[in-house]
Amino acid sequence: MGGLIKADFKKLFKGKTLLVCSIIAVCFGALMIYIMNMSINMIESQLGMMSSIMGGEDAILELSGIPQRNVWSMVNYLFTDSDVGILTAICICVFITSEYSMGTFKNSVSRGFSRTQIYISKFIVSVVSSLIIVSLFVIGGIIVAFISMPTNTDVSLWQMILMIFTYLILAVASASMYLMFAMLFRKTGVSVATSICIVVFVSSIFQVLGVFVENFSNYSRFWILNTFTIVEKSCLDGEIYIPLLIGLGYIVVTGAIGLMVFRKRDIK
Amino acid sequence: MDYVLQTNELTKNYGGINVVDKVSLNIKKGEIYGFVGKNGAGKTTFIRLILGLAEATSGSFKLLGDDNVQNARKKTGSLIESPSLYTNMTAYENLDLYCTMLNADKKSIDEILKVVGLSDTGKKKAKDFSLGMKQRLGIAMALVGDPEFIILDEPINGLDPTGIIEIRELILNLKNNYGKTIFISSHILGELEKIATCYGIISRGKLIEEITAEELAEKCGTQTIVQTDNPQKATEIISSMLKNANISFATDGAIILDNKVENIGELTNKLFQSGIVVKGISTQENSAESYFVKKMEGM
Repeated sequence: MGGLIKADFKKLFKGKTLLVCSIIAVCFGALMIYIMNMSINMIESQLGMMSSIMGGEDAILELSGIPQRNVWSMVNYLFTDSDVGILTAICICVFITSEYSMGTFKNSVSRGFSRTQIYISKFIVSVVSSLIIVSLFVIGGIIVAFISMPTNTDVSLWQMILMIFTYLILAVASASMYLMFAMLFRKTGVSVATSICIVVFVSSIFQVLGVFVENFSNYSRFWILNTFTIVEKSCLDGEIYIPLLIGLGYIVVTGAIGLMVFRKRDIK
Repeated sequence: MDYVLQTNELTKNYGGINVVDKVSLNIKKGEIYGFVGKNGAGKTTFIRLILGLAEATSGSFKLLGDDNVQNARKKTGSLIESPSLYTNMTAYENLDLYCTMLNADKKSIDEILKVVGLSDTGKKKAKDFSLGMKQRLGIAMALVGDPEFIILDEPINGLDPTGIIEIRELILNLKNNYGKTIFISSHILGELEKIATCYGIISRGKLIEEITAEELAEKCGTQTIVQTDNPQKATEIISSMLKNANISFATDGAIILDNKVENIGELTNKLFQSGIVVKGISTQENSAESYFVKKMEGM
């Protein structure tokens, strides 16, 4: 089993997909914070102008959806952004489905490795690649945030650690879901397209449904990509177990479905 | 007797059709076993069952004398249809990766590359290999971990004559100098005939016959065909004249003798004296290929 995992890591690092996705992730993270910093600067200057027009220098105007201008808020903002999920989905789906297209799954199955061992090995590699991409995305953003924003925040160090841990568990759960799609669809194009559509559209559909269905947000938080957005609030309210349980639930359910499908189907 | 593979009524059903139908075959240690069948006869599906790529609907098998086939597969190398290679890697890197996966000794890589004739490929990526080179690399991967049993599914498919000769020599080398037991499936009968020591003939999922190369040689050879105006009476005369003759009839009533008649003149004379008109006597070579074809077509 150790040899199998080692070989899978060799394949991952030898391939170009992780490298390309990592480079894009770090640039993308940095660019997002740079743009966010510019936007906050513009909004702050407009608020200042409005405040002076209204004549009250102490007037406080708040706009929802705009994070505070400090490094920790940017970290939260980066983790909750679902766009990095696209890069993770591409990397995992390409890595897994290439084994089908090149027929190399045959090599490990025919040499006595059980399907469960192979799936666990792929899961570990998928999780590591996902964590690398997400971490680089956040690091890219943090570097820009450190240069252009203050570091002061009300959030304690313990809360930060707890939130980052939860975000990473959710990233693992997302990786498990993309792995499941790759195992289900087998073809690179189909699994990548499905994963991207899910990243982009499902959250939007939930937002639309939220307009028409009363209290829909209570249910939409169970969608893994929406769960990222409730981490900070859950942590500050002492309910961090909610996103943690959702994440663990996704890992178990998607893992079980993916493994079941992989075990049942013939390898071509 | 040491068997490397024994199957017991192995069956695989796809959509109500038995693609592999109660196949019970036995492969002895040290053999080159030729698995003969037309395209779609069930050869590859049978191999896939043995290697765990598909699950049998019913039946069982022992691999390397072990009921725990998962364990025995670790000592079995294989090449199924087209070689499964990482095309962005060199031959050495492909084998290195496979050694890592199997925890095999990496010192053997150079020797394996030498055995298959790929030691001078250097930094050339597998995607730039010719079909023959890819096939040889696939066989090299099957040799990683020093397996006792090697399964090759259509190893000469798509190769040019030179490539076919190279693969044939490689297989004989593996048997003669490394003591490997080799199972080769192919529909190119002429090639199998040159290397196999035993054959299994499969048709429509069913194993028709298992036959050794010696038995096959006995069954093949020259036939004598006698055409007369009275086959019944002629058969009686021929039987009395040639005691051990194996006689059968062609659809046109011609008498077929499963060997060459040494004294055709004497036979003709005897038939003539008995009032039988001999319309013609001829000899015909019966090749292993035609024997297989007859068996596969249920003749």
